[in-house]
Amino acid sequence: MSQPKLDIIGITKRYGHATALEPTSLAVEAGEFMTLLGPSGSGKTTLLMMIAGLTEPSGGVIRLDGSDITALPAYRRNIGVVFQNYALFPHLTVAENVAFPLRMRRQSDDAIRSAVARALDLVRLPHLAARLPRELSGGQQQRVAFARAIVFEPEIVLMDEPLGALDKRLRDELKLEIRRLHRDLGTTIVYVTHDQEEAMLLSDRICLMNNARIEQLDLPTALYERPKTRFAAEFVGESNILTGRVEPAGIVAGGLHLPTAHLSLLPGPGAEASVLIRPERIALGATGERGLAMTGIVTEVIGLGGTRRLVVRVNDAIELTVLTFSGDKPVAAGETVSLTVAAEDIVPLASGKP
Amino acid sequence: MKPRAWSSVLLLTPAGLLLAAFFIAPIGQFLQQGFLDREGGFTLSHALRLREAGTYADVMWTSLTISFWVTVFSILSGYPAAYVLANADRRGKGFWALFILLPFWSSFLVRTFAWIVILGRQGPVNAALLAAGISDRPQELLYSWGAVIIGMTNVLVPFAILTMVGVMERIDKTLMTAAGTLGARPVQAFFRIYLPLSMPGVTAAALLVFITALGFFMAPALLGSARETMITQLIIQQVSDLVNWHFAAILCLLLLAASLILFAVFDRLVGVSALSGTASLETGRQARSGANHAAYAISAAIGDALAAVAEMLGLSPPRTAGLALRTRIWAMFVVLFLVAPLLLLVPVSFTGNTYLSWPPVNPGLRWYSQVLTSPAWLSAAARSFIVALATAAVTVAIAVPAAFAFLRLSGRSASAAFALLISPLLVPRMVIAVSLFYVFAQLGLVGTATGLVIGHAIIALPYVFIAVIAVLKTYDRRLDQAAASLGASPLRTARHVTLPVISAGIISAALFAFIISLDELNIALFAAGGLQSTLPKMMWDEATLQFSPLLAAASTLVLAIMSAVVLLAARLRSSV
Repeated sequence: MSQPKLDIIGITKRYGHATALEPTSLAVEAGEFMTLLGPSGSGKTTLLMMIAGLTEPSGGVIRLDGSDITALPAYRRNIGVVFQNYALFPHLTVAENVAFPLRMRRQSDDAIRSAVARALDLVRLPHLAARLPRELSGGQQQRVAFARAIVFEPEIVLMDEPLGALDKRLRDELKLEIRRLHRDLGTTIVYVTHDQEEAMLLSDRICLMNNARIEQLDLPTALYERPKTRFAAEFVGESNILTGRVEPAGIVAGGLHLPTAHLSLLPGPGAEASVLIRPERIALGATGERGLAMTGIVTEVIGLGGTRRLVVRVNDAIELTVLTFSGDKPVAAGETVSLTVAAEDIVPLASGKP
Repeated sequence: MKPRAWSSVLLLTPAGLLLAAFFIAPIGQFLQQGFLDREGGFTLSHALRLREAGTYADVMWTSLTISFWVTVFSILSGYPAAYVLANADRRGKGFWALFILLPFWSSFLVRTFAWIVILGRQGPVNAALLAAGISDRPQELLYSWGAVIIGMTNVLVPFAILTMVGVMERIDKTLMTAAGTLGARPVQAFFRIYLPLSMPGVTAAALLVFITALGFFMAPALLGSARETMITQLIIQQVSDLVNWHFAAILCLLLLAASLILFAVFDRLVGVSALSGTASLETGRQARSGANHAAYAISAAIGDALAAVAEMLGLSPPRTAGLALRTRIWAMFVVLFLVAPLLLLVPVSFTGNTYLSWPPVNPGLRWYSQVLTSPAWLSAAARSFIVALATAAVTVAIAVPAAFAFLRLSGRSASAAFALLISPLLVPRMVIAVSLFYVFAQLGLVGTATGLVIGHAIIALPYVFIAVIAVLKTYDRRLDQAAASLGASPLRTARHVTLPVISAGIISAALFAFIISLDELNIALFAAGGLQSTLPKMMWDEATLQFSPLLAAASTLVLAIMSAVVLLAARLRSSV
């Protein structure tokens, strides 16, 4: 197997007694879009800053293309960074901002001019080259920041919640733009966000972080469908989590027998365990599939536009959230419905902190 | 006009009246004298005297060169200190702010006195030189160009620091980090990013320091020789010794013109808003002018050259963003320079001798008891306190409504109101003092407490106004809206919500007015001494005769009182 583009080995950061990042290892392949996803304080920004060379690690090694860059100052790393607030230089024009890294690398004026033009074309802002950053909208500033971070063809581009300051509409638009740019350029990108939708849409792999360490490193679909822990299940997407005792072929929770197709993930019989059922994997009505079948009373119906969320009370101990399409047969509160879940969609979670 | 506009005008009226009656009118009336002959006809004879014998041109030239060098030294020594203060973490900030603000708010006069002690024949510098064997007899360090420059710089560095900090604090710290990730060495990032962005602060500081220095008379009079005579000393001489109003008016006009020209140039290049520290970094009016472009290119080139040198030498700077040790050490030296006069004056006051000596001998409270039992000193102190209290009350009563009105205005009327309220800052204090003296003489107000309060209020008004604006800007207007929605009338909102919330800030602004009044010498300078004296006037009269341990004791007492007031104000502010 070829060596990873970026190889992080046992990197850690402590501030006195507080640990910002437990010893962590992570390998990013060339051309990969890797997202560090997690709540604030999970260590994701600390990890990013150490890759950039802006925070000194307390231990561990960072390798870029196989060579150790742990001791290299930021300005020698050849890693582009897009900051959360963009950090555009307010006294320089858009073109001068984008030219800055090239000037630092003492490129000729001609080379700089054409590289800047190409970068601004790429982010579709060639007409704004002579403007000052303050004359641009938030979305335009974001694009300039991106152009500046890629213009010097860095080994990797790091992005620290680059869409955090924008409104939802613009965020959705720029998400697609970043995806396009990544495909076109083939750059290796490490992206930090706390927004799981953003992570799902953009990433080749997601590195979910919590409590200063990696919770789960996986493909987006795998992270969604087979989360390993309760934290992962709850952080990514909506979830029904049921806790009970392990029996042969599944668990018993709230008087219900929940068969799972993933028996190898369960602890031994008699132990306590939790399983995850995604709301959209619960079907209304009998499907005849092998799995869990039950009935319940609809207590709430919430229209969400394209989808509809139902809260269904199965018994005193169990209440499930169910997601259906708005075009499905209408259901009213108070109605009794039958529900089915395939054994494949009952996913055991690793025991641990509830 | 809308009712809202009317109420703004109403709120600005007290400030307008005070400034019109006791600032603009007196200055106008007095400066006129420069062009009137004895019968009240127009004449240029006074103005033409300026060409006489070269003396006045020499003095003006001396004033300008001294002010220039004081400005240069203040900026050079103040910049690193301002940088450290602006970039320190919360705890560090408190530490640095204390040591920079305390000298800033302690008596000008006392700090100037301290240099007489420090640089004197019997002072610590000479003692150190002798002890180190560098010289075999005490050197004459006082009464020289160097002593004047040191004394004035010492007094003005805090001004420079505070003005620059205002701008530096607004510089986004991630910009330097970003420059690093883009391949700039720290030294390049500094010259290409930080320095250009902090320039509005530097030029504003230079302007304030230069204009203030130009109006100085204490330091050249006490620390300099005849060769260091400055223009303000000539004005005092014309007024109090020669009673030549006409020529005094011409000299004042010269001083005022120099200040205003500097100010106008500054306004063209940078814009006035940088003075109040309210300028956003990106709104410099001529931000992209040719001059700025050239300055940026030069700064960038210096940065690149230094980076190339560092590259050649293989120097590796600290990798993490943080304050470089060298910068902090430099800032430490600046703070030491600021605090030294205060620290060295105190021990001298406890001497039992009748002359100044270092180290102090026969320690005792001899001079303290003499100050505290002297009716003259006690009455001067009482008078100063009463005047200072009244000044604080009057200034706040005028500045608070004006600040409310200012924040409601926008565009041209806002700039006009701001310009009016801070205008006393741009006129050298001596010009205000002489003009008021001229008018007060006709009104019988010379030397009265009323006259002093009016004069001090004019001088303190801009400072208090700016401080109150700062307080009001942090006030969340939604609290007023909430009160209104809960049924409170505007008056009741002000009384029960607005004023209680901002009261701590207002009180600290009042304390600053109190301090300014307590340290004000110009206005009281021309009044007779004796029972009409104020504390600074007593100290000045004493110092011009001879600097004795008595004065050191009095200065220490003043210092203690002022420090207590400043710390109280700082406490109140931080508890807001």
